Amino acid sequence: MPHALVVPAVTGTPTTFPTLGEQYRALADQLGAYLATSTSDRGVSAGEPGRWVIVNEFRDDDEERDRFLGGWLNVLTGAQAGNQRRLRRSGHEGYHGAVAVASVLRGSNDVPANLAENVAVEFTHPLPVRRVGMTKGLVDLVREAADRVYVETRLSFDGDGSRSYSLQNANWLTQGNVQIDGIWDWADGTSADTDPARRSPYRPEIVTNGSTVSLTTGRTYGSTQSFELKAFVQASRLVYTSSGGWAYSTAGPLNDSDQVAAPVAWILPVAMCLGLDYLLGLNAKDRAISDTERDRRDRDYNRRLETRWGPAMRDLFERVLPRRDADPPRRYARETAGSGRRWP
Amino acid sequence: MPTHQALREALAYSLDDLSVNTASSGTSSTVVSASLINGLSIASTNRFDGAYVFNATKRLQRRAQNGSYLRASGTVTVDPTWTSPSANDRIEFSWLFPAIGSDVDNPLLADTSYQSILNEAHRLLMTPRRLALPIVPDAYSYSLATYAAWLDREERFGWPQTPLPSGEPRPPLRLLEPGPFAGSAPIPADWRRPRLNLNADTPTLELEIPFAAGTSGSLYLQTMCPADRWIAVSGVWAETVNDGLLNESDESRPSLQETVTVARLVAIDYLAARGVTSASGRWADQLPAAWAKASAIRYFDASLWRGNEPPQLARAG
Repeated sequence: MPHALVVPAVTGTPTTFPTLGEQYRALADQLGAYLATSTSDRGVSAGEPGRWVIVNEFRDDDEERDRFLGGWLNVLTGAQAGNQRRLRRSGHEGYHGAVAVASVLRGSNDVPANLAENVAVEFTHPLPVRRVGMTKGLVDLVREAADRVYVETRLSFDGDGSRSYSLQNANWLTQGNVQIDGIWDWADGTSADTDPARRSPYRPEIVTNGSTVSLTTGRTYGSTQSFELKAFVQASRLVYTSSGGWAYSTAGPLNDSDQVAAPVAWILPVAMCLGLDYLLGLNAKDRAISDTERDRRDRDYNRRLETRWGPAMRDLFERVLPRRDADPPRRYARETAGSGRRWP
Repeated sequence: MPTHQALREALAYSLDDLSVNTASSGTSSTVVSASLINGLSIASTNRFDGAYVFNATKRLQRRAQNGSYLRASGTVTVDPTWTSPSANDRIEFSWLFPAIGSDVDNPLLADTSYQSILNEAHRLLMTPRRLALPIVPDAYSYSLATYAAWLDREERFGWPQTPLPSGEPRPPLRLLEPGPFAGSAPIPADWRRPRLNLNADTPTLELEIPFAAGTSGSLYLQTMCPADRWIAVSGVWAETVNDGLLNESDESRPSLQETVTVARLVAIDYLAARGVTSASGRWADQLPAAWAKASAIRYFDASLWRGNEPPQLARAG
């Protein structure tokens, strides 16, 4: 039976991994546009309640009304925190630094209400922070990327005089032996208290018997012996929450403050490829733009995929991500990284 | 804005059909003016035969009796009798059309008049007009019955916009709503997908996206209103019912030049139908040029021209 994980085998202490918020903000910055700011201290005083967001950074006397077309608002603080809205067509009033949202913001009892002054907000383009209707969010892309990035971990076991140990609690071990890379133990007279663990020469195996999954060790471990199984876990399954610390999670990172055991540099290239691929699909279905604009966007997305983020993701999988010592550059994660796309 | 009198006189002058005089005296059957005195003995007593005589000050109109002009005293006899002119009354003589239409005081004058021509021209000339409607939160429909007489087609809903910097044309701007700050200028609201529901005499404005609860202020419809429907009487602009220009001091929105250009087209069309001839030739020959000038005016609605075809096309055919 596996115990709590040892630590993520990634450089850094648990609390220094980037949060989900930091991951999606990095993605937003690269995928399109991102602005974190707060509403002006001059509140809305007329017009339709809940329609306008006043932001000093948006003041520009010379901007077109469609300047922020396709953008999204995410409210971070205040009574309406968590609300997201698409920015409305022809909704930029540059002189006032005002942008209109496509659906009015509402307060308590579902009554349309303006955002208060000095409320933290963020604007993203072209995707929202979280899924809105049928539009995927940046967080979804980060989570999908974290599904595809495997990080190293150790599961510790106490011997029970047998060679078989249940892995029922490690339900993220779904790919059999390819997801493990040997056992480290303190055999041959070494001590877990004073000595580092050493790789066991005996190859472990994952045995699947219907719904029962177990680990078979190459040698028998007595009740006083402990050992560790080196494994690779999806970054989305190894999550730090402020309430639960590090744990294997089924739900993955949910809150902005949750951490995944992978740095931005690992998540970002994958999320970017997923995002650009997703935008290509959205672009093809968008009936509201001209063919010229569709072609322009296609060229932009493909250029970024092929010249920058595709190669970055390839390098990540082939040279950077942890892999089994005996393996050639790992491919299983790379092969599942796209939605049917042949990555560069 | 130009007054009824200014427009009439400018139109009549453009047709070389006006003599404006100041009365010095008169009786119940005559008018006397120093400017009518002619020292040449060859001046005919028939100089004003049949002319329309209009006392613009008293708004009384008669015709000049044949052979009644007395050149030495500057006297013309009118028929039927009228209220004696006072000194300094403004007296207009015209021959092609009377100044005003018929009414109780002018029983003989059921003819087409300069007044009716000007009002017809104003029906052909649109004037941008912004209608304010108090916002009703969550309402999808706003009554426009007050404007049913003229807000009867989509083309009258919306003002032309300048093209985008790229040169791409923009659709007319139809609706405005309050901006985010008190006192700020109203802002475009066509995103609410406004449309006219043209239901006979009870048209309504329909909004696919109504205003949210708590919204106050007014929304504004940008319309193109026939100029005869928006007249200032004694300096107060208001919706008119059917009258158009009536009093001498009534004002209309189009410029004097625009109104006269279109009214001249209307007048020439009447004259061409009569078959009369001007000093420079047949009136019908002047129609194409008059049409070309009128149709070059930005807010001239050629679709309302009462003929089946523009004159120059009819002529070419």
